[in-house]
Amino acid sequence: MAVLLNNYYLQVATFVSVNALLGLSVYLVLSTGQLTLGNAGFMALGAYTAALLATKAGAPVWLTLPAAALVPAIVAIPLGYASLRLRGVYLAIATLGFTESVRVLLQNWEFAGGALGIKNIPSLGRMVQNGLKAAQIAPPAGLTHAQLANLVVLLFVLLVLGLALAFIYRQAGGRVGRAYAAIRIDEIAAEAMGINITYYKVLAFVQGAMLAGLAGGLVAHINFSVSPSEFAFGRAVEMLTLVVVGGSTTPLGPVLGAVLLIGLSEGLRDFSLFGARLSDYRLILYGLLLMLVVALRPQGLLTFAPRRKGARA
Amino acid sequence: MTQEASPILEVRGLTRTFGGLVAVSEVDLTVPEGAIFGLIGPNGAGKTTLFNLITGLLPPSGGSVNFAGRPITGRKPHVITQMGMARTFQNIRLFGALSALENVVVGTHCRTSSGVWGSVFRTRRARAEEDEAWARARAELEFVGLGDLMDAPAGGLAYGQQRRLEIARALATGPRLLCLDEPAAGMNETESQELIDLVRRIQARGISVLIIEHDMHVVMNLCDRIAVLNFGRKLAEGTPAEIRANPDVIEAYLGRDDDAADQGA
Amino acid sequence: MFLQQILNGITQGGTYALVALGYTLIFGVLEIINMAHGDLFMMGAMVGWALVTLLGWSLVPALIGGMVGAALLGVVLEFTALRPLRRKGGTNLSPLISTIGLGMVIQNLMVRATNGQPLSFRVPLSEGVIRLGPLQMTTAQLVVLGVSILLMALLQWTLSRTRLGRAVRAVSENPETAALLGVNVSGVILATVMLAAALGGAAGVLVGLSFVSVSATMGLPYGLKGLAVIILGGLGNVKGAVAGGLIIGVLEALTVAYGGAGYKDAVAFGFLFLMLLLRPQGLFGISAAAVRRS
Repeated sequence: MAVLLNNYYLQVATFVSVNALLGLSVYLVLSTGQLTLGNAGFMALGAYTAALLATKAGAPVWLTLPAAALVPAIVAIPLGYASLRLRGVYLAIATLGFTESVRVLLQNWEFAGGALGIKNIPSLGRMVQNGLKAAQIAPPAGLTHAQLANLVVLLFVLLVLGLALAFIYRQAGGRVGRAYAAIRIDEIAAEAMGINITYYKVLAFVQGAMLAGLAGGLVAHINFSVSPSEFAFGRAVEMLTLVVVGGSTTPLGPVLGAVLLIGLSEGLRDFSLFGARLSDYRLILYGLLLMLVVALRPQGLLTFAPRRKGARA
Repeated sequence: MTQEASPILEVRGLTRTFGGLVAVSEVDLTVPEGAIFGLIGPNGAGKTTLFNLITGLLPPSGGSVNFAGRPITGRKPHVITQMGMARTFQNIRLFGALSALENVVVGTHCRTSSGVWGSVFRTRRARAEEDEAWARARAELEFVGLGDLMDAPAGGLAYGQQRRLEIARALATGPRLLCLDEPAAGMNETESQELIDLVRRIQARGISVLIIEHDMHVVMNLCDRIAVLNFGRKLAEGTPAEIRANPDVIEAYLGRDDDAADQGA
Repeated sequence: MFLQQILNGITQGGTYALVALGYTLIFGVLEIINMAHGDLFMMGAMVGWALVTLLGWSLVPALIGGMVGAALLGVVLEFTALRPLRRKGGTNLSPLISTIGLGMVIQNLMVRATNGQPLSFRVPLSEGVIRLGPLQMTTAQLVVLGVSILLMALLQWTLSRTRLGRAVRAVSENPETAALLGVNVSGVILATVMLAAALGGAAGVLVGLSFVSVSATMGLPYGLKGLAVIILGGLGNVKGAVAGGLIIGVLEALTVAYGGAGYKDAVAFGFLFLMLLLRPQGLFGISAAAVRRS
């Protein structure tokens, strides 16, 4: 037990869960048929919102995390209305332009530390540890304080992920989810059914932005620091990879993508083959996977047959 | 049509050009409430373009459309559907990956209102609304005779079944006017007879019908009034008997080497 | 001072235009965005570096070598990331994703090969400065500008005067009709991808020359900038790519000169953004409706 709960594994599992949230944020937008590369920008907004509130205003974490979701959502509403008139590759490029613009602006924002970013963000792990010590709660036999704190952080992130999944599944089973599916399959037919496609596309875009921002806030509080370069093109592509490889037709797809890609590459960090460390080739592997999956299995690894239900469950 | 009901649809001087090409030119139509109104004409006469103009898919270059006494010219398709006009498509546009029943439930969208909150937290109101929507959808599927195929993926249904499913989906939007774009295309004789019955039953529910159709048997048997379109203009309008006797119409159909000619009545 | 900045901007903009032309050629024929284009650019630069530094070649043959290297990689691109998807149909988002994948593979293989370090790229050129009244240009700048103009002229000639150019234009107009008229569509697509890659490769060598260094990650900023340029000029539009490249080059130079060095990269993306929102068909494009339908 204590072996399985070693700090490294706990941190990897936390990292996987945060990435699953990021994958889900892209999935939400994709569930209306829109490909976005802008969620790295929204993640940056969330991470910086949390980091600034915590370091400059001393705001507690129960305030910084909701704010990390809220600020991107406020930006996403006008951005969505303006850019979702665009389709396909145009939308992809426009949202990529957004991500890069956010990065450049943050790099030049001296108040937020410029290119170096923000350091010494109160970390969730440290907060939990201090809380445990203050409450004089001793970790169960065989566990250190750090292990227990890491475990609590992991459980917290898993809780957020569980809530996000529950939200997405519930929504998919109702009127809003049907509108998303209809738009993804055929926009013109959806419009003819009386569905306001602009409204629902913006709604999905804003939901994606909120989730990406929340994940950004979590990252800020897990890593102690944020910097603009974390939220560049590479991040946008990584988020997309999780969904494309894991599966884009069910919310479990991006979760599987995060477990496979992030989990394996982190878990096998020190694994070497023919003298080459596997982690050095992680991005090459991602690239090959993207190519293979798009060519051989465009819906991703995990797919769902059309839901069959005669009656509502 | 003896009663002088106010028209459900009034089209005045409707025109649409593509570049220099005039696809629909100065078309006037008046569809009386409760009527089955036919729109015929050779291929490329502008029938589907006219449909797209009326249902808001294309903005007109000129003219106006009034629906149930309210102007709808240039309104978005989803608004027009919400106001009570539904349509099917010539080249069937079902949500292929969804089941037949789910397709029809999508049709109830504009008669329901629950949002994210209701969907996610399954509020009492949202649950009641959902139950009603699914019941409504099942009823519409039964109505078009697809009651035993509710769970089949829409994309896998036979052609004639897909056409009827599209009609059920359109009916689920709660229309006052149903626009059918070539509903009998690709149907055999039995199926098109069933279609005639179906459209009559739709009319009996008090829904007006505007129908584009090539199959003259269907058109002549079904329609109260017929308008003939040729080269984007209205060539003639009248009862089936009048249309059958109209020399211009005979000329338009027989004068062309067109597949519609050998279907002519 | 102002004129000098304009001149610097035009020189820089010339390389942007070369990169953008590669995107726009492929978009014109296939209606897809080749996201690996920045990495083809980088490979052109790498091949140029290897020929000059390891084999001691002079600039012109190294430039041609860089173009050939990139073009050969273009063949790989066509057969691994584009053609397999074309046979399946699907949307133009699939090639967007698969070319991102290939780009990652190329870039990170080169990161491994170079240990992530930039390589110094010294071409035997006279270090002189040429003066023209108040204006001055380094030899390298002059070469960059001259080669850019020459390649653009060559491309224009190829597209308008040669059989290949006519076939390319026919396919971008309508592939089905072109096939009916006896054009070998697959062949034309392959040739277009190679041509686009070669232009990118040439731009890579020129950028390496002006910055005296090449690196595995040099493709990304230029790739992104090229995207901004084609949006500005209109996707698939050759003249637009050239004009867009020059506009962004000049505006960047002016931004740097007048105190906004940190915001240099924001110029291109700001423009990209504004254009997509206000005029998605680009400066020289057709109608907005056509863009939104695609």
